[in-house]
Amino acid sequence: MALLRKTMLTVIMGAFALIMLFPMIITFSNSFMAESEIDYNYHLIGKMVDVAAGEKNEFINLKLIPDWVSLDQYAEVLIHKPMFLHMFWNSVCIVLPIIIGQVAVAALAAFAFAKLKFWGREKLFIVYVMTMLMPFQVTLVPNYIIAGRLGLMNSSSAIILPGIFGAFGVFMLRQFMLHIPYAYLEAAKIDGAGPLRIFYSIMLPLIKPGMAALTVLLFVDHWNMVEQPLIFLEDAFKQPLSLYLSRINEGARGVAFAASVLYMTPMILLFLYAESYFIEGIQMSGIKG
Amino acid sequence: MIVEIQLNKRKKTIAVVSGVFTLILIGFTLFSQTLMSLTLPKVTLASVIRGNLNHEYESTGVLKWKVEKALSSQSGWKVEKVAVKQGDVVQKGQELIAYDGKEMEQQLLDEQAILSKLKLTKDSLQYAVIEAKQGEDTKAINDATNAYKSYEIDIDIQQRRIQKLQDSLLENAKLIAPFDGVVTKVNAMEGFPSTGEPDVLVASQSLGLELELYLPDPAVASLKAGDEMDLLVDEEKARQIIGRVATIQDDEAGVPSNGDGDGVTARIPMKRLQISIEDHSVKEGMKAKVILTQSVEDMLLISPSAIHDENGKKYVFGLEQKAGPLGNAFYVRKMYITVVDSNESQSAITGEMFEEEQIIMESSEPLQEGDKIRMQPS
Repeated sequence: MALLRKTMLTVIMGAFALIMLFPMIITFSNSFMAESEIDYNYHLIGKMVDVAAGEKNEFINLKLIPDWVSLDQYAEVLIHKPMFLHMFWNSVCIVLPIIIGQVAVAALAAFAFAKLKFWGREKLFIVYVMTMLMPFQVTLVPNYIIAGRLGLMNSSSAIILPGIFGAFGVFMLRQFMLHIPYAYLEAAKIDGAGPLRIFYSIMLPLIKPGMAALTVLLFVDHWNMVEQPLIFLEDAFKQPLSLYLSRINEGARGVAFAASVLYMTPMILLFLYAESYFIEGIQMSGIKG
Repeated sequence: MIVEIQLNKRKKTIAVVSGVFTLILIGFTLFSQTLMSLTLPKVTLASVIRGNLNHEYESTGVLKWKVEKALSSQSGWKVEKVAVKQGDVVQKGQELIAYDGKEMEQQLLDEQAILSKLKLTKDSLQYAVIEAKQGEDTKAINDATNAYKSYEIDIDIQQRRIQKLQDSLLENAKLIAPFDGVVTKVNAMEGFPSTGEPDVLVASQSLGLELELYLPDPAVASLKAGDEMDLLVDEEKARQIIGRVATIQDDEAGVPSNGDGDGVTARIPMKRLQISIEDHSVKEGMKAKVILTQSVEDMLLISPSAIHDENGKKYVFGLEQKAGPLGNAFYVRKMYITVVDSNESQSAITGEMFEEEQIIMESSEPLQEGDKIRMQPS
């Protein structure tokens, strides 16, 4: 009975996993099709069908196996369309400072909110968290005005600086630190350690999984951002890769799949590398999606 | 413990994959421009220059005597003696060729004999008139008088005939030089009658040489009769002499020229130039060449090979430099032009171009507007 249950569960879970993975499988297999084949199969995407005028609704030709395995798309993206690589490095240059900055800022702030006692701590934390709860669109206009006043428009700093001081990291690491018993801190205090020493020698090693989880989440969040660069970066040469993919239908449909594979590779690699930390971190911080 | 080892191993693998991925992207970022440029059409460039468009017209002719008289006999008699040969300098009135006029001489003797014979009847006719006048018969007097007058007329006729034969004999018996000059050709052969061609050609040395040239109408537009022009005499050592334009006349034939790709064959109007040469150092029969240069000043010049045609509209391929994400890239730009004038090596143009602008001369592949190209290192 237990075996049957286990088997059924496996089948159901496998089916779900397959459904979840299907877009990725399609993307990967289609990335080895020639540009012309992609164009032929997916030319109907984005096409409006006027049924009243007698046009028949057609379906795209969803294919898993290429007619002819080709590296055309990769060659096009990596050699003939240098914009892709340029935007890739733009993304890297925006995302890395945000991650490093926010993890550093969040770790210190979270330590203060979780383990240091000062007047108005809870109220300040609530205010801090409230900024996180507000949707991006609400803070967009003030952010835009501030960036304009600071002369940061059309500069990646307009995205990096607000990114570094995001509230999510503080919130997540605070939740993570709350699970760390005070006994560690008190023991250190007895040994004569100050707050910075405690943070550096006790807390930092203990919140490693949390920081890893935060890194993955921040990377995914900022690697995929579209609105901020769209608003703050007018110059196409400064825009990140997420905007390249959003424009793929404007004439570069033939390379969509290879670009997508290359686009998601860093995320997948990072997730796989930090997978164990990530799960542990999410569990301990009590944040579950 | 085993799980941890496996985890570490997996992490290592992922780290290696990540490293390779990053290296690949860095590699392509640094070298994609180079790799791509290898696949681009290779072009060679030339600059638009400002200058004068020169038309060079060349024509060659052979120096001929200005006045050359062809002398021949109309009689058809055999040539008895050829007194001169080609190149001989002759004086006016000098005998050139003597003809055998025996037949006519014989005829003359015959006619003279007839005249003598006629004269024999003179006395008897005179006597008859005297005798008739002594009588009273008017009719006899008239008859005798008429007979004598008829005799006189016959004598006149015969004398004129003899005179004509004598003149003809004198005229046809020999050819004489009409002026001081040079014998340029002798066709007559002793013992044979004239062949139809002039028996002898004599040229006037004092009037000098002339050159006949055919040149396109535009080339001689600025020339007029009396103008001097430089001629190159085609000897082993090319030498320059001066000629003077004697006449400029239209040549009806013209030279066919291809139209501008529209399939119509136009004819370039040609002019016939006669140039007189007074330089005595040159000889008849020498080749002489004239080179005329005409300039259209201050034009934008390009090579004709860079000009392309699109349904009669002319264009050239220029360059457009665009800042690319990984460096500057060059693209083909079509620029329409108007060809104002051209010679073999240059075309004068007007259009959306400026001096020193670079245009594409040659390409390794057929080009289209907007094509990305790489430049051939010079």
